[in-house]
Amino acid sequence: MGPFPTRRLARALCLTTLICATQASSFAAPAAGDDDEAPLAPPESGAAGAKEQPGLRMAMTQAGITGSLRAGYWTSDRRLDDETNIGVASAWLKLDKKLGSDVGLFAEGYLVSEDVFGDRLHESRLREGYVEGRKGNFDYRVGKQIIAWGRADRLNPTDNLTPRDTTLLAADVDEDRFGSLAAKASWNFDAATSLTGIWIPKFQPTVIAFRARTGVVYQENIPDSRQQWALKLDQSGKAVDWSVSWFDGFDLNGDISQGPLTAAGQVVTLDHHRIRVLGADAATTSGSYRFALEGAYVRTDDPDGTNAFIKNPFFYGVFGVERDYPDNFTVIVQAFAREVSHYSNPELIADPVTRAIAVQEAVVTNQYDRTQQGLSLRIDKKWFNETLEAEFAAIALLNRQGYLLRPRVVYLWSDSVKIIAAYDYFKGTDKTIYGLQEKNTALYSEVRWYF
Amino acid sequence: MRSYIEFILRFRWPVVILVTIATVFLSAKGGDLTVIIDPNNIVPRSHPFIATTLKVEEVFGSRYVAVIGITPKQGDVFQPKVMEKVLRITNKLRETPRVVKTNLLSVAARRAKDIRGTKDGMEVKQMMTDVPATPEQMAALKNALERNTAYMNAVVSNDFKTTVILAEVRDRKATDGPDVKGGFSFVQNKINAIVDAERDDAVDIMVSGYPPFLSMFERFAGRTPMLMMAALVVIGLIHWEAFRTIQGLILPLVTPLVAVQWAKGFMGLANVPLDIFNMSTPILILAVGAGHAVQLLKRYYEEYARLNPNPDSGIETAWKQTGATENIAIKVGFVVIYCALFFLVWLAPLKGMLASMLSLKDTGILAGLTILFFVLGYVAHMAFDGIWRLVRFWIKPQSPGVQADTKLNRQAVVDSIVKIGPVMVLAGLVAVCGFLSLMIFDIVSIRVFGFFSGVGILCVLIVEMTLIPALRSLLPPPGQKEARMEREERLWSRLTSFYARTIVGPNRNRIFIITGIVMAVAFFGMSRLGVESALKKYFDPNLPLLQEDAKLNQRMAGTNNVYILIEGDKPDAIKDPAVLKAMDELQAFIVTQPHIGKVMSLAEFIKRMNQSMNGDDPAYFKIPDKQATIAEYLLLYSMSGEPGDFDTYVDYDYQLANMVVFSHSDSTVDMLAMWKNVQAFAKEKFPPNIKVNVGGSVAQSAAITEVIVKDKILNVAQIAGVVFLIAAIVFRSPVAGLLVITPLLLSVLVNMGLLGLLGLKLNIPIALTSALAIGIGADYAIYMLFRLREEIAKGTEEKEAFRQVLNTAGKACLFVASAVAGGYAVQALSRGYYPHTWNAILIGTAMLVSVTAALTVMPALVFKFKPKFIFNGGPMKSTAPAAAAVIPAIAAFGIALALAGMPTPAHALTPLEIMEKNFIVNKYSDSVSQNTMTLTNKQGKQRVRKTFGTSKLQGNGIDNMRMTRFLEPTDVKGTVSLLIEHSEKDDDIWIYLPSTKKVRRLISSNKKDSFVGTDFSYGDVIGHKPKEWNHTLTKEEEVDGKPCYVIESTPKNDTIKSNTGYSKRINWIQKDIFVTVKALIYDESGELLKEAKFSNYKVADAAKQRYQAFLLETRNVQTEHATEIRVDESKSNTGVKDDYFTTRYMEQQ
Repeated sequence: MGPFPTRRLARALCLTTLICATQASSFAAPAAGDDDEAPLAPPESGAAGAKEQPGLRMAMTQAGITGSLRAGYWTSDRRLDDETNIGVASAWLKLDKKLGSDVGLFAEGYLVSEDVFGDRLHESRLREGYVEGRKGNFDYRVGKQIIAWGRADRLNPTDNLTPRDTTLLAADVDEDRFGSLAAKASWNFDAATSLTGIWIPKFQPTVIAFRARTGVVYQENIPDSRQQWALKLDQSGKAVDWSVSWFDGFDLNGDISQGPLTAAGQVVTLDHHRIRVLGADAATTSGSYRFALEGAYVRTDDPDGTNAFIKNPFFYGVFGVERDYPDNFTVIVQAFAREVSHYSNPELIADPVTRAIAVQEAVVTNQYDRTQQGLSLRIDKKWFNETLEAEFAAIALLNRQGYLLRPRVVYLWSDSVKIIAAYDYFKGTDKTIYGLQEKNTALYSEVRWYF
Repeated sequence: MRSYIEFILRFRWPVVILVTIATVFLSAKGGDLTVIIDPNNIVPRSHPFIATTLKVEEVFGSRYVAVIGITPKQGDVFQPKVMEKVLRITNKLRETPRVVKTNLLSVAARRAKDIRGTKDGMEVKQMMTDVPATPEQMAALKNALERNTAYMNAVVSNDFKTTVILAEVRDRKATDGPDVKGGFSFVQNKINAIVDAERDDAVDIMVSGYPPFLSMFERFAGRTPMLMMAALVVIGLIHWEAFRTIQGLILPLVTPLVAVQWAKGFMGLANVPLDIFNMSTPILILAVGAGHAVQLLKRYYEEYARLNPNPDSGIETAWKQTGATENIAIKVGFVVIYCALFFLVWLAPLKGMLASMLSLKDTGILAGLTILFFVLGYVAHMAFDGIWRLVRFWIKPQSPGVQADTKLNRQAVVDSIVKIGPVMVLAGLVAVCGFLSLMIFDIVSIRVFGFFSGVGILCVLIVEMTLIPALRSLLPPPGQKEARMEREERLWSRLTSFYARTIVGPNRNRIFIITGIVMAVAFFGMSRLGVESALKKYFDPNLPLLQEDAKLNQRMAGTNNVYILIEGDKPDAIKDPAVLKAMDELQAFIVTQPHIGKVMSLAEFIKRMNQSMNGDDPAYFKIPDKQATIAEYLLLYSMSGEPGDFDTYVDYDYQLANMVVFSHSDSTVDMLAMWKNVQAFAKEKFPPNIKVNVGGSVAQSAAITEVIVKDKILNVAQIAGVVFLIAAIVFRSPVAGLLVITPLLLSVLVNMGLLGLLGLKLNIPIALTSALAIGIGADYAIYMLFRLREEIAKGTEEKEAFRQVLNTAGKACLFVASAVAGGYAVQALSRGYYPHTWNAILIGTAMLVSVTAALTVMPALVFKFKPKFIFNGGPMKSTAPAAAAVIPAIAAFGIALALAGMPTPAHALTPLEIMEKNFIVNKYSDSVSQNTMTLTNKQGKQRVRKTFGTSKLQGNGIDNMRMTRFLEPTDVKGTVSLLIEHSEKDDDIWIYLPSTKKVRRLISSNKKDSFVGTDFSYGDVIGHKPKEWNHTLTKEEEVDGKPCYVIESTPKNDTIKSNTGYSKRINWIQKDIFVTVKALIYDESGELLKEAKFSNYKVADAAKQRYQAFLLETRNVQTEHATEIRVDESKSNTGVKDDYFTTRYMEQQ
C-alpha cells in the first residue's frame, strides 16, 4: 500500500481507459446483430437508457464505466491499534465491457483515504482486471481476478484461492476481497456440470493486522513461486448443487513463528507455507429450507504436527440450514467444527518466548484446541420493496468464549444513494480469534453515491 | 430375513443417510400442515338427516345458530339501555362475515315485523327501528311483541326478563376467501368482541349456540401439540425406567418421531389437513412405534448378552476416551444457546402455540413451556455432544478389542432382527389393516384418519426395519454397567415372574375364574351402555360457556335448533291451506314434546295476517281456508314488509318450508325421540305429495353417531376377522387366530363394560378411541405366541419356556403397554375437555386389559390346551416372506382407497376452463426482451431498473425457465436471477450477486415474496396454477371496450393461501383471447392488496394464439407503492438456446 495515488492504480486506470477507447471504435457494432445464438443479446453494458443521460454520464455509460463515491465514519479502524473516530472517503470505479459476443473485459479498483482529516493512510488497489471469454463448451478468464469458492454462508472452508484485505474499511461484507493474477479455464460437460482448472502464478497473501507489541518486530515472507493450481468439478443447476475441489498452493493467512532476536526486538515472522486442500460442498432446497454443507481437509507442511509454528493438518466443516419466512425474512443457522490432527497443546512448551509465539500462532490459526465447535446465525429482513434491509449476523464458538456480532442496516435512499450503518462487535478470551480482535470493534456508517 | 438384515448392515451408512434425507424431505412437506375443522368432512353425506341439513343450509342459510341473551339485573327488558344494546349488537352482527344477515333475528332485526290490522287492511312495520324514547313507545313495543306471538319466547322470554339475538352462522365455503380464517373461532371471536363491549353491571349477557361450542372445540384441539410433547416425555421416562440407559430412552423414540414426520409428510403431499379426528394420530404413531422399537431393543440386549456375557472393556475404554463436554458452565451455555435457537428457528409455530396457551390463561403451563424448552435445549445438547463423540469414536483407529466387540454387536443386531423382525412385521400389519379398515366409514375425516394412521404405522415398520438396525450397528454396544442395569430385576420382572408361576402352577384356573368374573361385570356394564352424542357434554359443565348456555336454556325456548323441512312437489305447494294447517298442527304438536321450547314457521305468520285482516279478532288466528286468500295476504305483506322477511321459513317458489324448532337439549337421543313422534304425526296430517324431513346441527350429530356406531360394530368385527385371518395364515392354525383375538375381544368387552358402568354413552370420540385401542392391542398376543413357539421349537422344557417367554417378550409387552398408556394418560391433563380424558381412561384400560390377557389368559389357554402349532410347530422363517408380500399389497390398496376417498371439492367447469386458457395464453416457446421497471413509492419517488431477460418454455409446455439480468442501476448491475419452474414441486431459483462472486441457490417456496423488489410477487410472475384455486364467474363486463369475464378465484386450501399470500383474486379476462386485462388481489386477511392492469398486448405466437403484455402495472393499495414494467423490446419464438438458463451464463460479467 503506497501513498495516494499509487503508480499501480494509475497504470490500471490508464489501461482501462485505453481499452475502452479502442473498443469504442473496434467493437462499435452492437452484439445483438452479430450473435447467432441469442436473437436479442443484452445491450451494451449500461447502454440501456443512455440516450436520456447527460453528456459525460452518457459517455461513461457507453464506455461501460460505473462507480461510486463514498463517505463514511468509523469509530475504530481494523488494524488492531488505538485509532478512533476515522473519516473515510473513497472512489470505486468499475469497467464492464463486452468486446464481442463472447469476449468481455472487466476491471474494478478503488482509491481510499482512511483519514480524510489527516494524511495518515491513503491507499488504492486494482481489485480485479481480467479478460474473459467462451468458445463452445470452453470458458476462460485471464488476469487479476477474485475466485470465491464455497456454498455455505460466509464460512467457507474451501475458499482458499484469493486473498482479502481485512484492514480495509469497507462497509459491505465481501468488499475486502481482491484478486490474484490467475488463469482460469472451465470445460462444461453439460448445462450444469463443469471442470475448472486454475493456475495462480503470483501469490498474494491476505492482508492482516498485527497488534503492536513492545519489543516485537513483525516480518512477512511472501513466497516467490508460480506453483499454485486448483481443480474443481462442479455441478450447479440440478436438484443439488455440489462440487469437489483440490487446491495446491500457499496459505493465504500464514503462520507466525519465532525469528531472530535483533536490536529492534524479537522478530516474529509471518510465513505462508504450502497447503493442499481437498474440499467439497453441496446445497439444496426443500420447501422453505435451504441446506448447505461444506468441508475441507487441509494438509499442511507439518503433516505430523511436530512444528509448533506451522499449522497442523485439519478438517474444517460447516453445515447450515436456512429457513425462509414470508415477506423477505430469512434465518440461517450454521454449525461449524474444526478438528486438528496430531494436536499438541502449545501451552506445554517449556520456553516462555517460544510458548508465547506458539500460543499466538495456535490462536490466530484456530488451532489452540484440538476441536473447535461453533455456531453462526444470520437473520435478514427486507422491507419497503427491498429498499430497507436489516441484518443480524453472529458467530460464536462453543468450546471457548468468543463471538462476533454484526448488526447492519442498509437503506436505499434512491437508485443512486445508499446508506449503510453497522456495528462489528468482537468479544472473547485472548485464546480466541475473536478475543484478539476486540480492538476492531467498531460502529460505522457510510453514504454511497452510485454513478 | 437374515440376508435382508445383513444387506441393511452392509449399507448401514447409506441407509441412515437415505432415511435422513427422506425424513428431511417429508418433514418439509408436512411442516405446514394446518388444522382445519370442516364440519362437511365429518358428516356422513348419504344419511337423510345430513341431506336435509345441507338442503336447509343451501335454501334457508341455516345451520348453526349463535344465541346472545341479555337479562337486565333489575326489571324487564323494556328499558332503553337494554334495547340500545340489542340494537347495537344486531347492527354489528349484520356487518360480521359469515353471519347470515337475512336470518338475523332480534327485536331490532329488520325481519322482526309487527303485523297489525288497520282500517285499510294490514300494516307491516319493523318492530323496532330506534330505541323507544318514552315509556309509551316502550309499552307499544311490548304490545307489538305480545300481538305477534311468533316472537314470544324466541326473541323475548315469556316473562319479558330476557331478550335474545339469534345469529345464524354458516360454515366456511371454498369461495369465502378472507372469511375462512380460523374456522368457527374466526366468527366467534368477532361475536365475542361485539358482546364483550356491551357487558356491564346492569345486565347479564350470555352467549351460546353451536358456533361458540365449535369454536371451543377448535381451541381444545389446539392442545394436541403440547400433549404430544408431554406424551413424548412420559414415554421417554417409561423407557428410562425400563432400560435405565440413555439409548433405551432415546432410540425407541427416534423411530416413531421419524415415522410421525413421514406420515405428516405424506399427508402434506396428499394435501390433507389435520382435523379433529386425526389431531391425536401423531400420539398414536408415537405410541405404536415406541412399542415396536422397545421389542426390538429388548431383544437386541438379550442377544448381545447371549453372545457376549462379559462385555470386553476395549470398547468401553475407547468410548470413554472420546470425552464429552465436561465443563458444567459450558454445558449450561450450550443449553441456553440451543434454547435460543429453538426459539429463533421455530418462532412461528411457537407463536401460535403460545397464543393458544395464553388463551387458557394458565400461567402454570407457560412455566411448563419454559421448563420444556430447557429440557429440549439439554436434550439437543446431549444429542449434539453424543453425535460429536460418536464421530470421534468412528474416526478413531480401532483396536482389536473394539473390533471384536463391534463384530459381536452387529451379530446381535442380525440375530435380534431375524428373530423378532417377522413378528414385528406381522404385528404391524395387523395394526395397519385395523386402521385401513376405517376406510369403510362414510365420513371423510374418519377415512382420512384411518389412512393417516395406517400409513403412519407402515412408516413405523419401514423405519424399524431400516434405520434402527443401521443405527444400532453403528452405536457402540452396551458396556458391562449398561447391560447390568438393563437386566436388573425390578417391578416388571417380578410381575412377569408372578404371571409365569401362576400359568404353569396349580393356580392356573384362577386366571380363568377371574377372567369370567371380569367378563360378567363387563357384560353387565354393556347392558347399561347407550348410544348418545351431545356436543355440549364433551365439555366441563363448569366452563363459563356451559353455564351461560344453561342460563339461556332456562330462560328461553332453547339454544339448540332442529329444522323440520316441509317439501312440496311443485311451486306454491306451501300456500296450500291443507299444508299450512298441517304445519300449524305439527307446530302445536312439537311444542308438546319434551325439551322443546318453541317452533317458528310460516304458518304462524299467516295466522297472524289473517287475524290482523279481521280486526285483530282472536277467532281468526287460524289458517284461511282458501289458497287465494293466503296469496292475497302474502301480496299485501310484501307491499309493506321486505322481500327477505320469510327467507328463513319458506323458499322463493313456496315449494319448501322450514320449521325452526328450539330445543333445550342437544342430545341425539332426545332429538331422535322427538323425530320419531313427528314422523308418525306428519304421516297422518300432511297430504301425500308433501315430504317431511329433519335436519340441523343436532340431527347432524344424530346422523354421525348412528353411522359411527353402526360402522364401529362392523369395524370391530372386521378387525377381529383380519387379525384372526392373518394369525391363522401365519401360524397355519385357526386356533392361533382364536388365541390372538382373545385379548383383543376381552379389551373391547371391558372397554364397553367400563363405559356402561361409568355411565358414559357410546358417542363419536369414544367410538374412535375404541378403534385406536383395538388397533394397538393386537400386538402383544402375536409377540407372545411367536416367542413361545420359538422357545418350544428350541426344545426348552415347557414350564421353563413359559417363564422365559414371560420374562423376555412378556416384559417387553409390559413396557410397551405402559408407554402407550402413559403416552395417552397425559391427555388427562387436558382440563375441561372430556374426549381427552376419555382417551386417557379408555386407552389406558385397553392397554391394561390386552397386555394382561396376552400375558395371562392367552398363555394359560395355550398351556391348558397345548395347541399343535406351538408344541409341534416349525421354525419361524417361513412367515417373513408372507408378511413382506402382504404388507405392500395392503399398503397400496389402503393408499389407493384413501386417496379415492379424499375430499374433492366441487368446482364449476366453465370458470376453470377460462382460467386454464388464461394460464397458458402467455406460454410461448421463448422470448428475449429488454424491460424497464419503474418503482414508485408513496411519496412519488421513483427507482428505475433496466433488465435483459430471456424465457423458454420447458418440454411439458407449462413450466418456463426465466433469466433476468440487471443492467441498471449501478447498485444492482450484474445481478442475475435464474428461475426454473416445476409444476409438481418447488421451483429452482439461483441468484448471482457480483459482490459475492458466487451463484447461490435460493429458497423458492415463498411465492408471495416480492419479485426483485417490485409489487409483483414470484407467484404473479410464474402464474397461479388454476387447479389450486376455486373459480367463480361472477359477471361479465367491458374493460376499455373489450368484453371480459370477471372470475373470482379463491385458494383451495390454506396452504395455497399462505404460499401465495392471497385470499382472493378477481381477474378480468378478455373474452376473445383470454388474456388478463385487469386484476384485483386480496391479502390473506381479505383486505384489498393490489390493483393490476395489463395492456398493450401483442401476438407472441400466432399459430398457438399466445400473447404478451408490453405494459404491466400494479399498485399496492396498502403501501401505495406502484410498479410499472414496460417491455421496451421483445422477440419471441426465435429459438433461444438453453445456455442462457445455466449458472455458467450467470457468472459471466
